[in-house]
Amino acid sequence: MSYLSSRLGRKIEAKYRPAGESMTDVQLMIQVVVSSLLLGGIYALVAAGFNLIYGVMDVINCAQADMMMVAMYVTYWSFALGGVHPLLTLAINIPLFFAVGVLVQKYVIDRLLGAPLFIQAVATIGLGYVIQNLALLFWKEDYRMIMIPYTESVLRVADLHISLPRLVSFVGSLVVVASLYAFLTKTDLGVAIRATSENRDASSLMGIDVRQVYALVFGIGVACAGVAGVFTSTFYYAYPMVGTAFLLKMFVVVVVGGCGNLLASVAGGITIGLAEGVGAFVLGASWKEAIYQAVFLIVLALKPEGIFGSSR
Amino acid sequence: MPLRHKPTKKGEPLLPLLEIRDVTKRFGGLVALDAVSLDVNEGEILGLIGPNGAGKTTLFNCATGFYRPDLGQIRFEDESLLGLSPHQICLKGIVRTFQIVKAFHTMTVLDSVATGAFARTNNMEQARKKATSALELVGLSDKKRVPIKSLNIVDRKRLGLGCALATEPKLMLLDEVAAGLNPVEIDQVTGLLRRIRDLELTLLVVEHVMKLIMPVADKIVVLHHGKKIAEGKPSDVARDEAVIEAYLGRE
Amino acid sequence: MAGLLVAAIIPIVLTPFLLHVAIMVGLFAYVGSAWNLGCGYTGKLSWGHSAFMGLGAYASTMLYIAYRITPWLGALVGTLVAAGFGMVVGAICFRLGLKGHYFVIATIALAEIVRVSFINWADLGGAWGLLMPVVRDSLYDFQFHSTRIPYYYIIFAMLLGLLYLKWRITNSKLGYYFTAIKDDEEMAESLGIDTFKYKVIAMMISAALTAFGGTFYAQYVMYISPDTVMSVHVSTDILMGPVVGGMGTLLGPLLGSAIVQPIMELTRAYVGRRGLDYVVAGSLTVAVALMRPSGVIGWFEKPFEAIFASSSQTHKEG
Repeated sequence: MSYLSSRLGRKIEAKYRPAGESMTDVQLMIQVVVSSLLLGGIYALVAAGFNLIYGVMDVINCAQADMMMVAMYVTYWSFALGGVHPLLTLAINIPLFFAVGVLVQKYVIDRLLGAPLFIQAVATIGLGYVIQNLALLFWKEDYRMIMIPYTESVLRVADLHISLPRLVSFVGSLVVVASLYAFLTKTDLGVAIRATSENRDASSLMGIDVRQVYALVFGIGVACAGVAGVFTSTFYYAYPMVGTAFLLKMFVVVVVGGCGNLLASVAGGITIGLAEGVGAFVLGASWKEAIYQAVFLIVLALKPEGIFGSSR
Repeated sequence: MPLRHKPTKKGEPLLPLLEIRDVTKRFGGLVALDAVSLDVNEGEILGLIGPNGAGKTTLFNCATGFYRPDLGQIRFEDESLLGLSPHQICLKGIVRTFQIVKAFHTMTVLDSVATGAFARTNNMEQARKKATSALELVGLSDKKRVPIKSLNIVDRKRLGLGCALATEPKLMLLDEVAAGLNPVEIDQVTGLLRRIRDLELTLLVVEHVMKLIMPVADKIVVLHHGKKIAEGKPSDVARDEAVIEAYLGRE
Repeated sequence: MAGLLVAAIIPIVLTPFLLHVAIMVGLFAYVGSAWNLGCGYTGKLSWGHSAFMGLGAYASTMLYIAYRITPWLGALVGTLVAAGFGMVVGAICFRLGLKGHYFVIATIALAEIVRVSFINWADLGGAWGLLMPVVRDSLYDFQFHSTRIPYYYIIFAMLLGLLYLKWRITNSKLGYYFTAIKDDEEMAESLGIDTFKYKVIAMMISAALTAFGGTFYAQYVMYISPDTVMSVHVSTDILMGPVVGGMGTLLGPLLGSAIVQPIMELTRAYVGRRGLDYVVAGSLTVAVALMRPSGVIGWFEKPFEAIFASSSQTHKEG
């Protein structure tokens, strides 16, 4: 049975097929695969920030996605009020969110270190609620989308149409994750950070200021959300609740890839992005959210540590 | 305190209460237990000794369902224990204590022991009664309502024993019950063990502290590197060359 | 006892708005307590209870809309359905031995799957939800419109019943076993407790009770949809009461809801624009989590113990 013969299939085809051309089933499938794979890059980036924080500090930051939401709004308003091209906002967001992260760590997260997991989750969800609803209060529920030539441009490769902003976001996300990885493995500071994650007391005895390391790490983690926000706003709309949707996905990405593992975020992100896109294509967009949850449960049943995880 | 007990007819050959046959357990490349066999007869106190890492706790875990042996057989009252989960094994009549004393830290003493007693009854009153008699046995009657957090280490061990006794076992496996105790306390525990044995309970005791186990045990088994290297009366085992070497050689 | 009397008389003097607040407090105290029974006592904290609430709501509402079966009976069906799903959730999560955050995320995943399934279920209203047909005040139809006071008494009775049930369970083998599992699962196993069975039982009881709360919600609000009654937001709302008030205690959820709900309702009424209510609730939750994770009830333990029979973990003589 060809899914194209169904009404749903035709609707999806219309969305992915550029005007005036016909595509074979295979081409359409490849189109979907590529498109959703690119989205996976963003998931990977958000998850990377989360994993960094969790891996080093053992803290669950449920507000990660909501911070990304704020970043999206910052990008939007920079554009709407100042005419700044979204990608340039990276220069604002990275330091801004890093600073925010450090502050949040000092005043909020610091008290959560060593607290039971559920309490951490509750506290950071509470924080997320505050952020979300402040956004709701100030910016209302309207969807905000940046419409400039860049965000609408499409690249033609072979017979495929690839959205340029998605591609740039994907590459950008991978670059960020890769640099993070390099930072952690090759630089002195990075090694200090990893030492702290292995053994907090030993590191402290060796002269590493654990508090500062934690502040740094949280700052970087939030900055990741800041960058992800910039990228996402180039092809997706901003609204206060977007954080929740991404948060649920992020959890799944983290677990599927492997908790606390930076590179695994990429594997997880791409897997979930794919599952989401292909699943939506085959079953229909309204099943999207159930699909990745199902993938999550399957991975959990078969390999609980995640694709690249180690039992922690 | 009522204990379940199958009476044996005079003249019949006794089946060992617990039979462990050729049990092997590996963890990755490490062989923790290598074809270990031993029998525990009804009513006796069997001491299991050996240097650190000899496999004593691993054997315990196999016998109580926390691990599954890779090879071999474990039978209790002529029924196989393999594949049973810990709670099922407890209900069959084998209970264990833990080396690092575990406790239900939000409960009081009486409540913890009552939790054990619920293994044999569904009734609150009955459970409390059984718990009270178990507490008398281990000498904690005056501390019934005390929250566990405020107990000292000897009392915690008594509590562990009390919880185990409340499940009305036939066989008790004690894991290094003397660890961390001073000589006076060790004597107290030795007396306690004798009292328990007098109730016709069978004991399999893992121990490092010779002062505790040698005087009390009917039989001693020595493990080293996962293998049984000696078995017999305490006085014989103490003189066994292989055993002496095992202990001295490890320095 | 004085508190009970006050609570019994109070609806007569309250304005409609305050009555609504009181009913909301009652509802969330109820579902919070139901959550607490399953989660606070066993230590396995589910973040997917909205699914149970939704299943209860949908079951009774569907039966009423389709066959005019009284929601009271429909609620019974709802509790059975929810208990069944609770068994599924328990079986999956506990069989896989999920711990910590894996467990929490898995419960979210399962709840989301239910929610999305209902969104796609056109016969049950899909994403549009179900609108309850309005009839004149009637106990059979479980609707009251001329005054909402009956709703208050109903939820009040439900809450009392639930608290009584909790109290009975706490002082029984079941309660002891639940606490044992929370304190030390390994030790519990070694004492003959089938931890898997009891964890699933806790989940099922909790699910069934929550479902009844779902039916109440449906009858009160007169409209249900997958997003209003089965989403993660609702799950968070459910557990905010116990978390703020005190998980694992008898009256914690009650206290917590009595704090959180009025604050939210009042902010909603006086500020008008959406959002501030959760800003306040969120901040409150963060504050409690940071400063008093065991719940606010700790401050009230002494006076409470004087008034009520048992409000804390230590079991008294029955």
